[in-house]
Amino acid sequence: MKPVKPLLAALLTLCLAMPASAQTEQRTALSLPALFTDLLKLPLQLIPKPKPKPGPTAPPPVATQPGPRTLVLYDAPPGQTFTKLGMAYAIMLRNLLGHFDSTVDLVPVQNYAAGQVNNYDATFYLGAYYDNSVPPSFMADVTTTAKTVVWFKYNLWQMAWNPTYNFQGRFGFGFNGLRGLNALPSAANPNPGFFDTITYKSLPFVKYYTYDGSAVAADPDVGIVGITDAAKATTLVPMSNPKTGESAPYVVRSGNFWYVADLPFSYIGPRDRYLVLTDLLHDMLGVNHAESHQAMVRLEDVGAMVSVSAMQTLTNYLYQQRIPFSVATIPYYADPLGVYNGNVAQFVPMSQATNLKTSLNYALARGGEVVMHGYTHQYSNMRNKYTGVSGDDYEFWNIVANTPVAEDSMAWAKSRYLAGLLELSSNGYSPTAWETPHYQGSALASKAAAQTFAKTYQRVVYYTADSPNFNAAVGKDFAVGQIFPYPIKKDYYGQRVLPESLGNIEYDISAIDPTSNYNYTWQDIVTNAQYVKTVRDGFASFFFHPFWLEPQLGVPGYADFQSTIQGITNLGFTWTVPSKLN
Amino acid sequence: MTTKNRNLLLTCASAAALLTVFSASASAAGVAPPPLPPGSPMVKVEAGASPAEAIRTERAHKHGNLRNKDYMRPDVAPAPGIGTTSSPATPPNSPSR
Repeated sequence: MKPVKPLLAALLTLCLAMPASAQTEQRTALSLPALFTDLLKLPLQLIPKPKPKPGPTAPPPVATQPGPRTLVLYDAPPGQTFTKLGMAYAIMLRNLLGHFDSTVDLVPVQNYAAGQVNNYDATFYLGAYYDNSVPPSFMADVTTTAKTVVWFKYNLWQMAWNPTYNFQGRFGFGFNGLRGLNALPSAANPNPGFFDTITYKSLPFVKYYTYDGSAVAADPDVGIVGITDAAKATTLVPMSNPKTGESAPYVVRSGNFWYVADLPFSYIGPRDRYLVLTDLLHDMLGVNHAESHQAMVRLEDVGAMVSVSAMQTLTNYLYQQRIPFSVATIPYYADPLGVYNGNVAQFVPMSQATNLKTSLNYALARGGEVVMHGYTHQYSNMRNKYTGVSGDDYEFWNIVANTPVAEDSMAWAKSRYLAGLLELSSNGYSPTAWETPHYQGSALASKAAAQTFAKTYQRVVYYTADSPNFNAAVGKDFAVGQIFPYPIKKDYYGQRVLPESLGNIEYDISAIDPTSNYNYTWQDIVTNAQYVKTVRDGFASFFFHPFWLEPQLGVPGYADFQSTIQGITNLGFTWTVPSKLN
Repeated sequence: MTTKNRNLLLTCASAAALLTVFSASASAAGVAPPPLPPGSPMVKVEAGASPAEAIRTERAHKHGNLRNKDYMRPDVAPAPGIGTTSSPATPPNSPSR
């Protein structure tokens, strides 16, 4: 009964926060007594339970094996526009360390205290800024500690080229310099090349690159090292420069010291070298998870306007293949501007969403389960940024202004989560996980999700401040989107994150919808699955929009869906669902 | 994420500018840094997802079929078991389900 009180408070907040039109609809859908009854039926298992206090006769708590204790040092030179860039990278690494149940401390490298490295099982230094000063005390400790130290990219020269540290003699490899683009890009030579290919477990992981005629979007710089004593140092992963034919070490290990030539948190994607690090972290931390490959499929953006026919077809196929699946469900349909309803506002509570409930009931009886995908999957009565209609727009982020929404707070976000849960529970559904609309909510919304749902199932955007200022002249903030190849027990916001690692099928239907203007094929998804399988416990997790089966679109949605499922199955993945993941 | 957001999370730290900013610290460390590679001032680095992935997470999924849709009338004849939560028959290829 304990959670009821906050739920009531949150619902009151919700009533104040909802648009008037939506409130009217909500009132007609729920009488007050029914509301109280429904509160008691809320799926409380979604709400993290407080830890029970042991009574006087309770047995002593069972000792659990804690994850490794890790220190992440990052560049944060004060007074710079990009002071917080290193922190953004540090947050991404911190999230990955959450896969290992690690207790992580994030510390600007200038705040390093002598001897600190010995308090941790592993220390990571993220060399994000060219020639940022590394404290001599840290470098001295690196040469003496028996604990694991992993150094990324820049600034190794400060130790390797300073005879004080006898770097080469100690570690068996030397630092030779930096490499980036092979030449200046130009119209005649738009891609001069760089060390862009990292070969790992027989697959080429290619770093992102585009050139628009004036600027290069890429992260080509790498540190070049050379092994001088093979008895001490080993190249674990090589990188190559296809345009010059050169190769060089990408990851080197010398005892407890590792060097990664790159900072693999930029321009990440499902086939990016970022995945190499996600796998190698097992070795760096000495936590060798068993080889295990699971897959997940989620039917996406299923709301009041869903096609029963499409849902039935997909459900039947998955059921016949004995594949469990989830349905990303939008509990409450809103079209406040009447964009799809002749300019007349339209709101459909779940109690009236017959087709949605028919589809869900059919799916749930055949291996499906509900994931809550927003409350309305749109925000207020504005176009954010498309139509203001459920399924189209952002709900927990003002994408037009690129800021948190005006009401942003944990209480506001939680009130919407609870409203969505109430819509579901009052119609007999209990979600097994949460998914933020368009994968982007504010920092506070994500923190509130961690307090409301036991699992978050998506890619996640992280910020270097809860109220970020992306335009500050000094210390501007960053937002970083992160893809996970495996579950994260606790991320930067406290969420348990289940992975969506592969993406989704898309078709160019720009004749119907100008914004749907590119193809992403089932072969792309299956290729992505091959890459994520290099991660020893990597998940092949994708989603699919049932509307691709609607005949008026004229695309081979159903055939491609089947090919995707078959392709992933043939790679040896075992299908699972959020409810089965602890 | 969107293009707009992408731009705002742009890290675009010009390496050349950083060279200037941190040259003093390098002196303090007593080691001269290696030269930056060619084209460094043209390079913009973005932390996090690539633009291609950022676009993918923001698909609007609107295609006009929602217009005046009847959300209470199924677009398919009811199949056996539809609309109920009762368990359907075991699938043909899964006797042990």
